[in-house]
Amino acid sequence: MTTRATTARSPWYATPVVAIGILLGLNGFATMVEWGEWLSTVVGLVAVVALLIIVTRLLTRSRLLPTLVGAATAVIVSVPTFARNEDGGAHMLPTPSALRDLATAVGDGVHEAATTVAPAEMSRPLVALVMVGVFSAFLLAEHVAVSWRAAAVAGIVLLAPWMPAVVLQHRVSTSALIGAIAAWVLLLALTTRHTGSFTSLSPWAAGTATVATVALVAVVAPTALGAAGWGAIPRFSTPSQLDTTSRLNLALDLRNSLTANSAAPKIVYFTSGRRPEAFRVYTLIDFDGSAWSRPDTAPSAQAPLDGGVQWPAPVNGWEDRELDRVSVQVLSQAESSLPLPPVPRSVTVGGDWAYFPALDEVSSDTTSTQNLSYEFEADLNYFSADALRSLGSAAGQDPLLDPRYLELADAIDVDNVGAKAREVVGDAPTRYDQAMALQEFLRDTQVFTYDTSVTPSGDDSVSVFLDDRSGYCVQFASAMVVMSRSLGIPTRLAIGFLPGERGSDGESIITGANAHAWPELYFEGAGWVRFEPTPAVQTGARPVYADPTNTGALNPFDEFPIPGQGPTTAPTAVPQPAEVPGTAQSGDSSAAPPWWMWVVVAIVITGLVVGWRLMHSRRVTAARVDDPERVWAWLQERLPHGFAWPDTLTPHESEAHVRRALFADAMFLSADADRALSELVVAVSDHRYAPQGATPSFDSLKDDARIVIDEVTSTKAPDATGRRSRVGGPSAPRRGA
Amino acid sequence: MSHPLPTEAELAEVAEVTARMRQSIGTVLAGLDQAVTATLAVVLAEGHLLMEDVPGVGKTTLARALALSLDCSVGRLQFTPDLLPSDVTGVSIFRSDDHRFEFRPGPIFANVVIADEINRASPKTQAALLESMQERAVTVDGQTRPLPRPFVVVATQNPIEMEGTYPLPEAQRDRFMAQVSIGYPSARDEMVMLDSHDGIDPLTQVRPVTDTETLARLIAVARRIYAAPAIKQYIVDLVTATRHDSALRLGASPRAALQLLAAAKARAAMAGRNHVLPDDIKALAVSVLAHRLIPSTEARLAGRTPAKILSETVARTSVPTEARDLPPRREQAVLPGTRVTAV
Repeated sequence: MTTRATTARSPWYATPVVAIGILLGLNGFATMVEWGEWLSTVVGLVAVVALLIIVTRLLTRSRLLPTLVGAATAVIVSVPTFARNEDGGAHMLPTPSALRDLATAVGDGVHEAATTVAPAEMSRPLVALVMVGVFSAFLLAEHVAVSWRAAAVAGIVLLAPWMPAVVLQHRVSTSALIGAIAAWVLLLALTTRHTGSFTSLSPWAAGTATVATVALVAVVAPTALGAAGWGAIPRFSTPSQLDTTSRLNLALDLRNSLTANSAAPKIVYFTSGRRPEAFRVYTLIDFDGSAWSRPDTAPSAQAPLDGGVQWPAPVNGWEDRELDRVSVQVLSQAESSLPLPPVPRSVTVGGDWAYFPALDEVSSDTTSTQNLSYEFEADLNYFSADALRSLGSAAGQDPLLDPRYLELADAIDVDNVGAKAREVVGDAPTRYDQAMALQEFLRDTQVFTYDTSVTPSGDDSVSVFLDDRSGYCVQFASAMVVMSRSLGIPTRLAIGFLPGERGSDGESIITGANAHAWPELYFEGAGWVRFEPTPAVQTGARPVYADPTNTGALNPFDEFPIPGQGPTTAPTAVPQPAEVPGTAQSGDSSAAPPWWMWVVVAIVITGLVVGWRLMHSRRVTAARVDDPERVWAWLQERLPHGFAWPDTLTPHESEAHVRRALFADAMFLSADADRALSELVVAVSDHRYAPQGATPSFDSLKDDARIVIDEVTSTKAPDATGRRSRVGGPSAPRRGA
Repeated sequence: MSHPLPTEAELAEVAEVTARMRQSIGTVLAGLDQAVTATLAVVLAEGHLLMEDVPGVGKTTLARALALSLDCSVGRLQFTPDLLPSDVTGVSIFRSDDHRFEFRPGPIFANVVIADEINRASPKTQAALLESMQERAVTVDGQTRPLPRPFVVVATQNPIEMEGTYPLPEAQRDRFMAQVSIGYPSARDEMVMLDSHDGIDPLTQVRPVTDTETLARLIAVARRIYAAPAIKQYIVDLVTATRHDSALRLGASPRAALQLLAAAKARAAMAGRNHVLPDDIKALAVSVLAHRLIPSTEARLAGRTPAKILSETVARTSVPTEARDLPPRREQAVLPGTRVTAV
């Protein structure tokens, strides 16, 4: 008997308010998903579940049962909507296999959410995942707010869907936000226990509502209203499900790319042979001593992508070279230039892309790399140590180059850095040997420490770095740029990605943690050559041509060259997305019963239940119009909290309970109310236990109950003159046992 | 309903007579409303009463005051370790003048039997008394002799922890309808007591207020009190709860349920009501049920007495508004005595 009736009926009318509050919360995901037809599915299913919860609440006073019914309904309606067997057919009934398929769909949704780029197109598994979240939040909030009348606590649940917008500092619809807050405040009002007059909010509830509203507005509203958000709000590292579009930071604070979002896959690629040692995205030339910047104007010289080789220097015998074919799919990385290896290559890409030889970038003003697939063929062995050594003298003249490549900002302590550079390179005879000396100097872990927690400081960050000897790739690369420039070698900075991890299916995955920066030195006749001054802890091995210990056999990144796949074999197919969302969804809707069918079913069920209840109550009204039990229950429900008696008390004990509760406030019932209460007790007691009860009329009993309720509630609340007590006449003598 | 409901006049008589008895007992022992109510309820339900308490609080005095208030035969048994069964039931002796055995009835052949310190007697003698309590008859020398009606045994005993006692086995405790504890009187009641006992023994002042025939009539009236299905449901809920309580090793027996109903009817009759209220059950539940329950070792070590456990059970059991566990309709339709041939 643990789930026996509670003392008062739950405020069922609050359930739709919870549903509205939760559904408005979907706006918190506004920038992460694409709105579409799936929204009506969500709304429809929530409406069905809410309807059945309301019906259950009307039929029972149990606290747990309506939530259980709601949960069961949620599963039942989800099965035909989301569960698909292996042939793609829909399940109509929640059989064990259907439930398994439903779980599979949700699991797929989790996987898709982790791999898809925002804004995500809503495929069936993604909608199933959203549905799980919506149902959980709705059932939890509804249970807390309606069953237990703890709407303030339920506000935490209502707040949850807005958190992504708060954390990611996205814009949300202001009206939706205000609507959600209004729903919550309304919920607080509706679920307050009766304290007599219907409309008055208890001070507790009103206070909580005010505080919570202010808090909610303060946290969410600045974001919603388009402000920059709260600078003080810490940037949480978002879990990969909530991952959104990212960009390399051109102001060159790569730390964020290296630490936050570091686990989320950004780029996936397949290669027919070896893997590139690096993917360069941007080339930077201007360094003011503490930060790098892009030129304001794009270089004018550009070349179309005509299938030929893209490289700033002429490449001999391109067609005869050993080319590796690489298929790249960019996920959530939105850049204006393609990630490409810093070697001669030929890019095949759809869309408005062009080659800019000055920066050696393939970029576009109109499109971004987000969700882009492209291929390129590259000669990954283009450079060799011997060839580079033979090129150019140590401080050669490069007349065709822009002098900016040698420019050192005023803030830089050129004398100090230059002296250091000269000391490092010593009497190295060639430009290559000088570069190698600088690279090995910076890579020496005895001297320098790799540390992403270092904050670049000062106007001359390179000098600071050379003193502190601690930093991450940007500092290492900048140091090498400045040092080699001080030696008269044209140098620039490249930022992009390291080649990433190998996946299980032969693909390679580049994550945020692979973001990287490195220096590129100019060799007349060869082009811009990448060196790797950052220690191996982040970068792995040196480039093949820049490794003093390497004899040049293998690309060190290719631990496992794929046998039988020569460089000229057919390109590996671009990885297909697991499912094309649009088509999948349209296929689903034809197989599944539309959601509105469930609404119809729910309405029919509701109609039947309401009809049955009406008939039943009419029969009851006809047969037992004088039922004191109903009046008794009504009285119990309407009495203020603390006056209503538990079900373990007999009617006579209940009477004593009410009197005692009044007496605790030093109050008594007036003679009239006293008589009314005693009459009611005798009536209900006789009705229950006597062989033939007295039959007072229903109306007179109801009047009695009303007198008692009015008396108790008005006595409970202070009256107009501020007096708390209202002493009535002497108590009527107790009757019965 | 086979028995007609008691009339208002009958109920008024019950209320009036029991009020007089209560007043009569009250002249001897002040301030024992609860114990006296339970005692009178047991008498009206024709059950047997067990009074357990430390020596000197008035167990025997209450028993004697009750007996003296009734104009009926009273048997008095002082139980000692050497008391024999025949000392209780009576014995057949040989009459040499007409050469036959003649039965000399023992003290048990009386309307009210006061069995003092019942747990001082050997189990054999206890068994002789308790058997006759249940059967309301005595079998001596192969001949069964019915005991006079009404037949009420009021036994007193010291708590079993005291020295020189043979504790009553559970089966025999179950024979008693109720157990009451008198407890120490309040300071005011004790002052009244000292006052009233000053000089004279108040027991000598007690005069009978009713006779055997009246008492038998009252008992018959109490049996006819109406108990609604909800009331029976309440009793079933309570005894079932004791059987499933983890703090109890032994719950209440079906006999306990029957006796609780009988006692509740008697209490309702005393209040002049023709039907039982759950309040009657609540007032009597501890008296009627507690002495039959055996707490588990954990509960005993935690200091939870059966009475305390039972009070908690009563406090958390909902008062039914209607019967739930009614037998199925077909079973109900078969009247007693009707033979069911077809299956």
